[in-house]
Amino acid sequence: MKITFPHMGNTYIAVKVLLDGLGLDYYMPPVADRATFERGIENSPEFMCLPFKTIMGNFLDGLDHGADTILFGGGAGQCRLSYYGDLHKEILHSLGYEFNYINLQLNHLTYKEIMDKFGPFIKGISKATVVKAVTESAWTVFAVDGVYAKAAHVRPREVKHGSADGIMQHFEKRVRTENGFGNIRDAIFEAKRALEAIELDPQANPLKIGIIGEIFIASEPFCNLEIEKKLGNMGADVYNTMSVSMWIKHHFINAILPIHGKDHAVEAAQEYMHIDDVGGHGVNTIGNAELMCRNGLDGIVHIYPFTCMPEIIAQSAFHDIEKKYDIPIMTLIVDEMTAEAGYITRLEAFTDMLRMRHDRQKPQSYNVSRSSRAG
Amino acid sequence: MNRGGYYLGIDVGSVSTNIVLVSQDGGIEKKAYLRTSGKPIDVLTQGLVDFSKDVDDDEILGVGTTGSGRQLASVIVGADIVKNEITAHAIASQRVVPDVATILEIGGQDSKIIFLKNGVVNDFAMNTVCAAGTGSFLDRQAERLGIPIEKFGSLALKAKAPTRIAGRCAVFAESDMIHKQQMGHRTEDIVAGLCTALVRNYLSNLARGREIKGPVMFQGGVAANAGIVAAFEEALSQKIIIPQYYDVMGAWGAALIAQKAIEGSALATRRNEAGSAFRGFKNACARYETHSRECGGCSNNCEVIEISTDDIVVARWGDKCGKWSNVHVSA
Amino acid sequence: MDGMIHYVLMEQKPEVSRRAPNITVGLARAMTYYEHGRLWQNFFTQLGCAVCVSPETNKRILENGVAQCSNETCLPVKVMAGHVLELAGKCDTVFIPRYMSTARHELCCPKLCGLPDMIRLNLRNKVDITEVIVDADKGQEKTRKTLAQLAEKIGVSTKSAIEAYEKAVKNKLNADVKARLAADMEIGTLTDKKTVAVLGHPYMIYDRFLSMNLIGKLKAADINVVTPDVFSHHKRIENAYPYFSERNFYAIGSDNLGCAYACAKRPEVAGIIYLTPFACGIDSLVTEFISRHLKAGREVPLMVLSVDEHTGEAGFDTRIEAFLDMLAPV
Repeated sequence: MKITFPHMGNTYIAVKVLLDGLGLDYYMPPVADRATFERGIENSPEFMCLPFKTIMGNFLDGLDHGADTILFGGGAGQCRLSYYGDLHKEILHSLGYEFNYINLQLNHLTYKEIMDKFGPFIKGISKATVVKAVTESAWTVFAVDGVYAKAAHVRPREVKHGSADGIMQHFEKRVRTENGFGNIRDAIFEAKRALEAIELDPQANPLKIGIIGEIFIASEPFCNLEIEKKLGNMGADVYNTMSVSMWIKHHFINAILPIHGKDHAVEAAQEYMHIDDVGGHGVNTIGNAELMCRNGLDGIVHIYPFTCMPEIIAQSAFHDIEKKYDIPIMTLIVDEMTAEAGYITRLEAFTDMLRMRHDRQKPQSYNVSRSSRAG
Repeated sequence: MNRGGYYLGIDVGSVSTNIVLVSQDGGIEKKAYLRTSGKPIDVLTQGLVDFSKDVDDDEILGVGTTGSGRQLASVIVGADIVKNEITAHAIASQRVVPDVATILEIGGQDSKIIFLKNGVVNDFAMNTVCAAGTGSFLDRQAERLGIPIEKFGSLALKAKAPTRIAGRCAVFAESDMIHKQQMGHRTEDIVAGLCTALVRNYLSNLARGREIKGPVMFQGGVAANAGIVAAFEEALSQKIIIPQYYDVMGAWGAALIAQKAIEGSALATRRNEAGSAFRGFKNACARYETHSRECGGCSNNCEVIEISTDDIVVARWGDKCGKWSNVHVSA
Repeated sequence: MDGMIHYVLMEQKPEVSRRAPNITVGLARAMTYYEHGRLWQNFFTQLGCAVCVSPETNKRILENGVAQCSNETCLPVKVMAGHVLELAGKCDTVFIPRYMSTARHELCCPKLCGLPDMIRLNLRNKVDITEVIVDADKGQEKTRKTLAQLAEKIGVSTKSAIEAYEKAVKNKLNADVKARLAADMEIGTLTDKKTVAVLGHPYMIYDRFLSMNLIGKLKAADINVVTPDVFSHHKRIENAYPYFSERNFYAIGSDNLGCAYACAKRPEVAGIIYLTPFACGIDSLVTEFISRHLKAGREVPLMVLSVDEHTGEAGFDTRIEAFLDMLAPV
């Protein structure tokens, strides 16, 4: 048995730790790979959303490299994600592939569901090994998110432009090739130490920009054209609510532990939506926008894949939110045709506008930055 | 020309490349509106040769570039400031009408709407769908109808009953227009219909749900088209201001931003006597070669663009990781 | 709990329910009106309310709706906004049901789940909106709660609202078409004559303006036309590959999948036209399943026709004519 799995942002690091820990054979499709991406596009319906197409590319590549088992997490709700599996299977079968498809039901994830679906994998592996692998994998999720958060903090403050990017590039290269928890943990610590050593400008006054929207696109740099890095290098502190650790916490940890805290975002959205779920993260997006505005961010970028239904609904509320707080929200819709040049222009114009609005409140500090880097 | 130094503003867009020379009081001394024709470097350097006849290198106090080719232009000319089009247009418009509230801009491939409040950009939008609300749409239809684009606007004004042209994108609008032609609609009605369709697509794509307050300015190459102006005035029920330099507002804005940057800061990296990063007309007008290749260093396979002159690479970009663009290249 | 308390209190004052509320409720002739319009009309009539239905979609309604919503909003929701605006001033409140699901395992499009909010937000609170949640998959709790709110708003007892709902709506959501649809909707009948099945969301295929009178045009070309409603709910579900046997899916998806495969078994069905609003998320999934599965069986020609507010009728007609020519080679 050889497993393959799709990419979503930096989840692959934790998945590797898990599968290595369990001693399972797997093939990981290359991260951010144009060729597999294009194959996914070719073999997907035109108006399916971008995450479907991207994942399709991963599967095709995985099966071509000898995988016979696909690991995927879907659901059973109003978002199309719930039905990805059926269409993936249909298309892959018609292309002549044979495989075993394991679809975890993420919105009703229970301990039983996990054990039922994972049972055949961990047969013959000691319970202690399983517990260790799961624990290490969970630690990795949060540690990796910590590294990315640190890099986001450093970018708008670093004295030498590009320092954080250099470290992250080295980190990503390393975790893609390293195997086993020990090595990946070392890479995480190494990156953390290096980021902490970067000299920061104490005078830096970064803008605060929030990212909200569809989670796959918001957390996948290949699809969002590295929005966090770009905004960071344009001098902004980036707060991405749609992080992988949030997602894991939401789906896995909450499902297994019997504690169900209030979802603050859903609660905050009730002023605009009289329902707690419209599929996907539509209601959360509105709630996150509201919460970010309450916290006084300078601006918000809303990002989602073309034709995403829940996010189109969420967009309806932005006019009211913008008006209430006088904070701009820019919606970016991405698909496989998104051109980077136009995308950069929009981000740059947006940060320029926020800077001007920011400085208007403090008229003395107006200063045209001398090098406005475009990418 | 009066002595005392100038600022150079350059806007390299997909359809036109514009250059302006701005005096220290911010006024335009000389302007050039050139068709990019897919050869931005040639067009830009030829334009600069023309400018070098009127000014010397040491009279250039600063250079600003904007437009989709702003990086390219900044490498060739040596720019002090590289700015996006939104900011550049806003700055130039405010110079003409200080309390301007809305700026409509229709360029070749991009169209924009900019809202200003209390003197700063408060909101903006750029086209998301396609070219149906941009200048190239009109160019193409004019060509198909066999009407010179310059006459398009005046012809539209002669229409008695504008034809309704449907279509989300340029291709569909075109097929609907051909259909209307075949049904015997008069050419001027079709031309007016195209103007209305462009304005309708523009407003529905960009201005949706936003209040368009006056004063409204309209700029970009399309602003010369009286048919479009009339369609805008009708749709918005208000007077539209067309600035004198409607076609080079981006370049003007870039020059004004460069001026502000130079005057407002003590520059550490002075390269020419005047304090600008300007490389001089002679250097700028050298022969350039561009090469593109796939990097192959990782699975991204970025397309790296290299600009060189006399076999010396002066700039590289296009890579995600910075492996090539971070390498110091001699200028 | 609030609903329950309310329920008890209201029950002690039965005279309240007998009072005619003297309220006019607006129903938009859009979206779910084309599935259950008559049911909700009966519901409000039973409660003693006057009902005002917006006229058939026309250019003004479309343009008003388009002007209100974000560009990315799908055409049917834009049209819905136009209809609701049309009702402003003609009624005391506009009723927009919030459909989460209309049968066990059958979910609704996210846009229907968020419809009352989307319309309220896009219209900037210009029109008063009343809603009732329908969630047949999860149960009646939310329905009762919203019925209690509705009852209070229009001045009837919660009990009578619940009774009216149970009598007029609850068990008829998937009933025979005659009970649900207005008389002038053309579902057709299966005959021996050459037939084209017109598939899609009811609010696309039955709205003569949005569908550019597709059904009428086919009939004028001497084609027998059927829609998914020609088959019973049970029959559609039974045929809804791959979403039969108690699997969650979009109700509208199952309807169309089921109809397509049921049609594929009938030799008189010469072709299928699927009418979809531009970039519809659900249709992107459903049409893919249909086209793949049709290829595997009797190859019934399928044409997916996409429309939006920019569609020109000339190009639309050309496609229909070409499709019909293909079905009957000269």
